[in-house]
This record gives sequence, structure tokens and C-alpha cells, in this order.
Amino acid sequence: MNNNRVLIIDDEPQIIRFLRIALQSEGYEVLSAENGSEGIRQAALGNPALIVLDLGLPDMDGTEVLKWLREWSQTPVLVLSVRSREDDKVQALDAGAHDYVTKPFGIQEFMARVRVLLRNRPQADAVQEVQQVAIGELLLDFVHRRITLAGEELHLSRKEYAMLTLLARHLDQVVTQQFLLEQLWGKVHRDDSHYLRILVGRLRQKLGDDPAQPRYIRTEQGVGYRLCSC
Amino acid sequence: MNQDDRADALLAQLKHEQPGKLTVFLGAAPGVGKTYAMLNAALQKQAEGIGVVTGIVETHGREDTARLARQLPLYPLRVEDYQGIHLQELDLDGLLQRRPPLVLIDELAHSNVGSGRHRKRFQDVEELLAAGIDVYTTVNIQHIASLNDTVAGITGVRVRETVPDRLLEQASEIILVDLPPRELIGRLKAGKVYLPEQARAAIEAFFSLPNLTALRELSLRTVAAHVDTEFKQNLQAQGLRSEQEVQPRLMVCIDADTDAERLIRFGKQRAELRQMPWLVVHVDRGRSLDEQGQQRLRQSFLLAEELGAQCLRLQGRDVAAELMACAERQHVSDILLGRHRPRRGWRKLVPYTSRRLLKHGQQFTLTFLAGAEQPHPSRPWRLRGRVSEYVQASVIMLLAFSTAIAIDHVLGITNILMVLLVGVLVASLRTSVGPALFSALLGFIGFNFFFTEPRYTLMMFHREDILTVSFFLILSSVIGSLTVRLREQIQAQRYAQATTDTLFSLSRQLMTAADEKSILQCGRRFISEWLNGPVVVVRGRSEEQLQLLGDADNPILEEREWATARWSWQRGLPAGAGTDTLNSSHWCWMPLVSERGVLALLGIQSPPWQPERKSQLATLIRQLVLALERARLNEDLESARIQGETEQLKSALLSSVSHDLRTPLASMIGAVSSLIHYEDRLSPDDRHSLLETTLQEAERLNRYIQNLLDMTRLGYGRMKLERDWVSLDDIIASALQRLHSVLSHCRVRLQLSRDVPLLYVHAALIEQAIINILENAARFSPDHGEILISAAMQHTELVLQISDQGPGISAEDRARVFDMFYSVQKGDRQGGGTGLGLAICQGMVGAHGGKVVALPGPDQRGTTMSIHLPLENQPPLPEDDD
Repeated sequence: MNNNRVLIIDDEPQIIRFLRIALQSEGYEVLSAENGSEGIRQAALGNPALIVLDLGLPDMDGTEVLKWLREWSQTPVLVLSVRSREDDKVQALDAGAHDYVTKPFGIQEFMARVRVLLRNRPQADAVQEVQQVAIGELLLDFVHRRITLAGEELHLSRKEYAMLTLLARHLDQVVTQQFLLEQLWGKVHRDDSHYLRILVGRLRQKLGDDPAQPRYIRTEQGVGYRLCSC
Repeated sequence: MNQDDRADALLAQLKHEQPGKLTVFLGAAPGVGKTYAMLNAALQKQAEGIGVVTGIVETHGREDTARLARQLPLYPLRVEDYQGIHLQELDLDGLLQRRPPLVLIDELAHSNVGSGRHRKRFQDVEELLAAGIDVYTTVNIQHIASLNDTVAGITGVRVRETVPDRLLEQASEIILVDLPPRELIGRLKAGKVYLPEQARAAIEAFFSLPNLTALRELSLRTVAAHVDTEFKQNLQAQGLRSEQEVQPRLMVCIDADTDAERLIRFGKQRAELRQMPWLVVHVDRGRSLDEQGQQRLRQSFLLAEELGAQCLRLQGRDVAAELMACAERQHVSDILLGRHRPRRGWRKLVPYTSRRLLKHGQQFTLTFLAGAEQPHPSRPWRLRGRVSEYVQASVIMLLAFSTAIAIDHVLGITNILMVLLVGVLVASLRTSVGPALFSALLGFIGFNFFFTEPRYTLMMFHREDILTVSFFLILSSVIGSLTVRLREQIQAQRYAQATTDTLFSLSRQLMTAADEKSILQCGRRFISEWLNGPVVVVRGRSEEQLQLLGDADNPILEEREWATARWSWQRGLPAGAGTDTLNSSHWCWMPLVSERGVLALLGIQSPPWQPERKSQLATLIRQLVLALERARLNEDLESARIQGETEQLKSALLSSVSHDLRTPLASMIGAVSSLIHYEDRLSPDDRHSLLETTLQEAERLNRYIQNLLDMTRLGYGRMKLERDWVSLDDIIASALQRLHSVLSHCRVRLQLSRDVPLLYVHAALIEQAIINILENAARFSPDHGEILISAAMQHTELVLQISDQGPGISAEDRARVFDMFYSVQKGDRQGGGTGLGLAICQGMVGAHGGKVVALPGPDQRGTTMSIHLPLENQPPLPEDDD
């Protein structure tokens, strides 16, 4: 597997063109495919480290491609979608995508996502066990179960701590709210989104995060939450 | 002749051409050879290459007829097992399916037996004609409904099987099959005429020379009248003038007493002969009619309608005056009246209506139909009232006498009379006229027997006793009959009141129903309660797609019921139980018919049989149809309005698109083409600035497109909200993030109250609403101007305010900035233009039940946009995990 190889599956040549220029100038090697079946072939032959997948393809739906890929590969997938509907994003994430960017997007946003996905790339099949995460003054020490902010220990409830752990395990990646709800309260509460809102509100308060301009926990409206390291 | 008349005439002709053509072979009597003539004509048609099929032909075993019949293909008959007897009936559905060009159907007046759809064969024929199939049929003159009386008068034999006159009127051709009477009698004697054995004697009396001659004349006249009508219609269709501009009319005056049906039949005949339109009129003097009278009147009107008369019910106390006024209005030249019953008592002094008409009327001919064989169904003497009522009255009087005897020795004779009077009064209150008078008589005899000297005889010694007793009789009779009449009037009023109440409560319930579906549901519920039985409503696009309306409590209908419903839907006529069509069904189907056709069917399991209930049901159904019509009309108006607005919106959007999309595109194209063209000559700063412009304008374009998408999403309040619990903080954070570059030149200050609870909203829409306001605020803010976002609770609303320090909005524009047409109209003049942003903002907040208002900013500087959102009850919280 080549650590710098990115496969772009998109039927718009203009998009491929500007992504290729941008990615190459950041030192990545770029493969491209203009339809789903070609994309799956390239993914199998080219062994990319990251796949950028457009959801609207001429021959098959992007989610279909994702399902095919996930049958034999754990390669991170970044989904591009022109649709702004939250459902599509959640569906893609559920089908195994790691993150998404909504078209139109700025190149910085795109590059940030690419970097995160390549950094967090799963080692073989083992889920990465996070031991310690430091974000500015915030230090998450999972070995000692200690959370400190500017050296001062925070007292979190069990749920708050569990939530933070889940987010940290997918640092800088979006975690869907259904996943969080299932993990924290069980399947029955899958749709009780207000549980999460309240929990996140309390957590932000303890982290000293301004809810209207959060530094640590970002809300992806209708999709989920993201713990930001930058 | 004006255009309309001509159009009508042409239409009448067309009406003959579109459905199947009916040819009637009319005979004066059985045995003239109608069937034979029909078969001959059919064979001729067959020779011309027209596909003729025999539907049903009765040869009555005559060889020459049977020989002809064998030359034509016979459509198989349906074999009916009727009470153990095998009967052959016409296979209507088979014929309708096969659709032969011409069908022969003998004996039009025949009554069907068994499980056929219709009771009468002429109904079968009508259905075939409606399906565009030509029909040859035969009928005898005595079966024609309007001639029924006349024939009975001539021959003394009344035929029960009749055919409505409309069939003759519909016929494109009537062929008279004529045979001189002597020849017919000869055929009869030679045994060539089929006669059922049991009726031979009666029928032979029927075939007398005078009878046959009269019947023949009647047939000839009927055909002549038909030919005449046709001739006139042709004249009119060709645009030729008929003799008179305004056709004079015949008016038949009926009331509940006279022999109305005979009058109507006579009127029909006369109108037919003279080619006059005719009307049947009744003047309601406000006199309460007894049940039988009402029934007679209703039946008379039904008959009149069936015979094609225009029916009018007038109201007024002065019958003659009303009739004359009506005659004036309706261009009546002939008035037909029945002979009145001789009056009794003081009413002899009042002049008869007919006399007054004669005296005052000028421009019309009066005709009196003199006494018929049965002038008026004279009432034979019978007990008025039920036996039980007489028993009741006797018991009451017995009680009265017991009391009277008990007080006889204590009190005087006047008191005894009083007690007896009370007895009569009570009896009258509880019974009807007969028993009331009976109790008065009992009182009279009893008083005489028990209380006048000599006692216990029917004799009287004292003169004053005779006087007392006589007065008692008069007094008690008057009291008795008055009481009864009063009670009957009260009952009649109660009944009328009940009808009004029913109607009123239905119309009140219908008022709350806005659309067709809820009207039908409301009607169904109401009629079901009123009838105290199951009712269903069926709707559909066509008779093949009929469906029961909503509600889970619908009974399951068998296929037979559906077939009946489909027929009723197709023809717009009632069918099923209690009607003349398909009455083996358990349900009665009543179509709700308006000018647009059948709107729905009402299925009733136990249709009322009492005439009043029936007519009440008809009224209720009319009410329903009116309500449905009203709803349809409203819908039409509404859709016309929406269409108008959509058109307006379309053009507004187009102009908005051309403005809002082109502005950023112009900047982008300009910037990028400068970059390409002057690549080397530009300083790095300039190059960067041009690139920056391109990016910003592209982002702006993206937001405009989002607005356009939202606009279509908003539609007309038909947007589906995907509500979820969200925190206001998250929404504002997301909005600020998306507008990061737009807001870079101003300071944003947040003042969000901590007590703002979670919102149950469609987050993306509220976010877009806030973005649209923030974007405007940023555009009008001076550099480094402050934009204040504050949120607080006010009672059960969230109030979110966004204030800027821009130029502000003038007071008269504040309400109008939310009007998309207004914003669009201002277009270019507005400098940057708010576009559709605020209108969309209003739409999105409005979809959540909230509103947006523009206010002057704090310290009267700039603008404050205030979003008011109603709050939902907070959801249950998770158990605390600490």
C-alpha cells in the first residue's frame, strides 16, 4: 500500500483536475476514475491509501461503490456529495465512509480532511487504541482516566467521559449521533437526540468551550460531532 | 329563431345520433304482426350487411314468425331458475360486451323476473342505447304510460305493464304496424293470435270492433304526433322559422284531492297532440295535508316528471290569483283543471277557483276534465281511528263515570258535567277524531242514563235537562275535535321541526368540513346515525376504480355489491336494495350527482321505506351534493389563485435569477479573465486580490443557489419539516462558520441567555433563516461595525434578535422587505439587493409557526431583525448518570 496514493472517483473532469493539482502540490500521488466500476477496479489494482468518492456517479450510486469496497477493503473513504441533505451523509457514514465534504467546498477544508484520514489510517485491522490526546491546553489521558484542562483535573460523569473517549478515538473525524446514542444509551435510545444535546452542552461547559463558537467539540448539524485537534 | 333555439334543435338531433338508435314497431293491439314486421326489417338490414343479433323474440309458436327468426343469429338467453321454473331472460351484460350494431328486443313492456339487473325490459333497452347499440323493439299502444287511462277507458281493461313515454320520444323512428280491425278479428278467430289460455274470455272481449277501431286511431295519432315533432325539429335544425316565436304552454293544475294522475295523463296527451310544452302546478295554501294527501301529491309529481312535464309548486293563499300569475309568467295559453269536489256547509259560499279563473282570466282557454269513471276515490264509511283507541276512550270515559257517580251525592250536576268533559278532553288528547267524538257520545248517553231524572233510563223529565244534555253533546264534540286537531297540528309541526333540525344539524356539521373527503366523512357519519344503520361512501376516478372512503370500520362488500355500485356510478342512478335496478343487492347505492357528474356514491344497508324518510334522505343527499360542490368550487378558486401566484412567482424568480446570479458571475469572469490576460503584468498583491474576489463571488453565488433551492423547497407551505431536538448554540455556531468570510469585516457579539431550552425544529431551515439575516446585516454593516446576536425567552417563545449598525430600513418598508415580490421589484436599484433572502427567512420561520419582524435597531441605529419561535414542551431527560 502506497501511503501517499489517493484515488479520486468522480465523473466531473473539472473536479478531478483541480483536486489533482491541489493534491499533487501537497506531494500526493493521484489516481482517478470517472465511474463506479472503474473506481472499484482502480481501488483493487492501485492500492490507494485514501479514496475520495463522489456519491453521484453515472453508472451506480456512490453508496453502492462504498458497499462493494467495504467487502474487501478498509481503505479510508472521503465522500463528496453535492447533496446537502443530512440523511445522505449519515447513510454514507453508516455504509462505511470515514468522513464527508459537501460540494462546493474550499480546498483547505478538503485537505484538512485528507490529512486526518491518512493520519488515522487503521493499522492492519486493529482499531487504533488511543492512549493520550492533547489539544491545546486540554489533555485526555485514557490510561489513567484523567482529563485535565490547563493542568487542572476535570470531574466528568461516566457518560461524559465515555463520549469524550468515543470522539477522541476518531479524532478530527465526524462521529454520527446514532452511533454515539447507541454506544452510550443503547439501541433503544437511538433517536433520543436530545440526550446528546444535553450531554454535549454539559461537556462543553466543563471544557470551558463557547457553545456558539466551540473550540473542541464541533457539531455537524444533523450528522454528528467532531472532536477537533486544531 | 335565435341562435340558442337552433343550437338546441341541433343538439336534440345529435342526441339521436350519438347513442344507439331506437326503432319502435308500434301496434294497436296484440296480433297485428309487430314481431313479424320487425323481423322482416331486420332481415333487410342483415342483407345490407349490418350485423343483426336477436336479443329476445317471442314467436308464440307461430310458424311464419319462427321461420324468419331462424334466419337471424340469436344471442344466447340467460336461463333463470325462478321459483323452480326455468325462465329465459335477455343477457344484457353479454350484449353490452359483444356490442352488436343492432339488437332485436321484442315486447318492450315486459317485466323481468329473477336476478336480472332491471325490473323492466325497457330499462335494459335504455342501457343498450346508452352504450351506442341500435335497438329494434315492439310495443302495443296500451302499454304507453300516458295513454294508460285512455286505453282503460276505451276497453275497460287496465294494463299494469307500462312503458314511459320518453322511450317513444327517444325513438328515432316509430313504425306503425297497422292491420284493419276486421282483419285482426279474422286472424283471432283463425287462432293466429297468441292468447294465454286463462285470460281468453277477457281478451276476446277486448278484441271488439269498436275497441280495436279506437285503439287504432290512438296509435295513428301517436305516430302522427311523433312525425310532427320530428318535422318541426328538422325545420328548426335547418334554421327555418316555426310558426310561433314563443311557444304557448299548457298548464295542468292539480291538488291533493282531485284525480290528479288522470289529469296529468290527459295533459300529457293534449300537450303531445298540440306540440306544446307543458307544466304541472300545485298551489300550496299552507293547509296541512294528511299523510295520504301528501303521498298522492308526491306520486302525482313523480308521474308528471316521468311524463316530461315541468313541475312547479306555488305558495299562496289565493289559489286563483297564484294560478293566473303563473300562467302569465309561463306563457300559458291553456289551463287544464279537474272538476272540484262539491263543497259542504259554509264553504259553499266561497267561489270556486275555476269560477274565479273564468271571471278574471282573459288570455287562456280553460278546460275542465269532467268526472271520470272513478271521479275521486270516495272514502267508504269506516272506523276513523284504531280499535285500541276506541277501547282507550271507553276506559277513560268509564273512569270519568265512576268518579261522577262517586261525587253524585256530594256535589251538584254542574260538577258532574265538568268531570265528564274532562274525560272527553283526556280521551281526545290521547286518541284521534273518531274516538274523541265517540267519547263525547258516550258522555252524552251516560249522562242521560245515570244522572237525569228518571235515572237509569234514556228518558228525561225536565226540559232544562234536555237542554243541558244537548249543550254537553255540542260542547264535548267541539272540544274533542278541536283538541285532536290541535294535537295533530303540533305533531305535524314537530315533524317539520325534526326535518329542519336534521337538515340544520347536518349543514352545521358540514360547515366545519373543508375538503371533499371530510365532507363525505361527515355526511356518512351523520346519515349513518340518522338511519341508525351502516352507511359507506364510495369514490373513484372511474367506475373501475371505486374505493371505499377511509375509516377502518367499513364493512366488507361482496362482489355483487361492487357490481351494483359500479352500475350506479356509471349511470348516475340509484341501484340496489329498494330500487328498480339490481335489487337483489343488500345495499342501496345512492349517487351524489352534480352537474359535473357523479361525485360519490352513498351505500346504505337499510334504506328507509317510509315516504317521508325517503324524501328527507333525498334532501340530506342534496345538501351533501351542495356542500361538495361548494368545496370543489373553493378548490378551483384556490388552485386558480395559486396558479396565478405561481405564475407571478415564476416571473419574479426569473428576474431574480438574472440579477442575483449574474452579478457574482460578472465579477468572477472579470477577475479570472484579467488574471489570464494580464498574468505577467500583475503584482502579486493584485493577483491575490483578484483571486480573492473570485472566491468570494463564487461563495456568494453558492448561497444564492441555496436560496433558490430553498424557495422551491418552501413551495406553498407544503414543505415537510424534519424536526429534531437541537440547541440554538449549535445552529448559531454553524451559521457563523458558514459565513466566516462574509462576516470578516465586522465584529459579531453574542448574547445568548443560558435558559434557552432545546428547540424542536428543522435545524437546517432555521440555520438558513439566520444566515439570510446575518448576510444582510454583514452587507449593510460599516467596516468594524458590530453585529449583535441575542437570544432570550419570552413566555413560551424564543426571541432571537440580530442587530446591525447599517443604514436601517425606513418604517414603511419594514413590513414589505419580507414580501418577495417587493424585493424582486426593487431589483438593481437596491444596491446589492436583499434578493429573496428575507422572504425565505420568513417562510422558514413561518413553517415552524413563528414569525420574523423588522424593527429599528438599538439606539435607533441600524436594523434589528427579530425571530420569534414558539417552543415545544421539553423532552424527558435521560436519567442522571452521576
